[in-house]
Amino acid sequence: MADAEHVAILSRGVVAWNRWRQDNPDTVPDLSGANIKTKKLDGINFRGADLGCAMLPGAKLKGANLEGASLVGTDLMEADLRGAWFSRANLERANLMGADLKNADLQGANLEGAILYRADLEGTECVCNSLWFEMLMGFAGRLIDAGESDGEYYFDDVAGSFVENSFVTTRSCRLELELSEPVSTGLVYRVLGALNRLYSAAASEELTGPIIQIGSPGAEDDTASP
Amino acid sequence: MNRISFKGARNILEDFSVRFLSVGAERMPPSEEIRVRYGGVLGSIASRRSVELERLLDIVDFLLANGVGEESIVRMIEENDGDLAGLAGDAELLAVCCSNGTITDVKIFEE
Repeated sequence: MADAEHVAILSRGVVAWNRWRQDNPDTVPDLSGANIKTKKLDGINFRGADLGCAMLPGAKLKGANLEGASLVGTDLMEADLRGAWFSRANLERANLMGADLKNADLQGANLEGAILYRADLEGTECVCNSLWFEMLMGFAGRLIDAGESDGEYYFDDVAGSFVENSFVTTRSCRLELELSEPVSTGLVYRVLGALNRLYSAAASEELTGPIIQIGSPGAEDDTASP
Repeated sequence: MNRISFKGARNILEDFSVRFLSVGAERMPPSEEIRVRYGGVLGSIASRRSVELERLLDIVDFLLANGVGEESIVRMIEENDGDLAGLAGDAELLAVCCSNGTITDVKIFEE
C-alpha cells in the first residue's frame, strides 16, 4: 500500500519530487500499488523506491533514475524508458510490453518473469542491434531475433530469465565530415575535440574509430581557421 | 581531400548532425519548451561565461532529446556551468566551420 504523502508529493511533479528526495535522502519512497496519474516523469529520481505493482502504463520516464528500485509486478506497458537507469532494479514480473528501453541501463537488473513482448529496443530512429549477447547471459537464450534486416528484436517469453551485467546499446554508424583545403592540423583537432565532447555529453561514451585524412599539402597553414 | 570521421550511436549522430553540422541549411532552433524552462538560468550563464544563450539552449535541448536526464541537466547548470559553456563553445566552433566553408559536407553511413 502506497504512502499517501509520497503519492501527494509525486502529484506535484518531477521538480518537487526530486527536491523532496534531495531533502529526505533517508526516506524510502513507498508508491507500491499506486495508480500514478502523473505521466510526465522524465528525469525523476526513483532510486531505491518501492514501486511494486504500481500502475505506470505509458509513463514518460526518459532518463529516470530507477537504480535499485523495486518494480516487482509494476505495469510499465508502453512506457518511455529511454536512457532510464535500472541498475540493480528488481523488475520481476514487471510488464514492459511495448516499452521503449532504448539506451536503458539494465546492469544487474532482475527481469525474472518480466514481460518484454514487443519491448522496443529500437525506437523510431534508434536501432538497437548490439545487445551484447555475451553479457546478457541467461537472458540471451530467450531472445528471438526477428530478423537482422530490420534490426529489431522481439521478446516473447522471458519467464525465469535473469539479466546480469547487461546493457543495451544502439546501432552504430559513421559520421563523415569533409573539410576545405587547405585546412590547418590545429583546426582539425579542434573540430575533433568539439565533436567528441558534444557526442560524449549525450552518449556517455566517446566517439570511436576516428579516421583522419589530411590530403592537402598546405595542411599546416592556418588559412581556413575560423 | 580532407576528411575526418567517427563511429557512434546512430540516433545521436543523426540528431547531432542536424543540430550542429547543418551545412548550407538553417540551424535547427531549440524547442520553445526549453527556452521557457531554461532560458532564465541559461541567460545568466551566458552573461557570466560570455557564450551565446542560443548555443546553451541548443546544448540543453540536444542532451534532453538524447536521453540525458533532467536531473543531470540541473546538476550541470548548478555545479558545472563551465562544462556547459564549453559545450556551447564547441557548438559555436562547429557552426562557424559550417558557415565559413571549413566543413564542406557531412554524411552519415551505416556501419
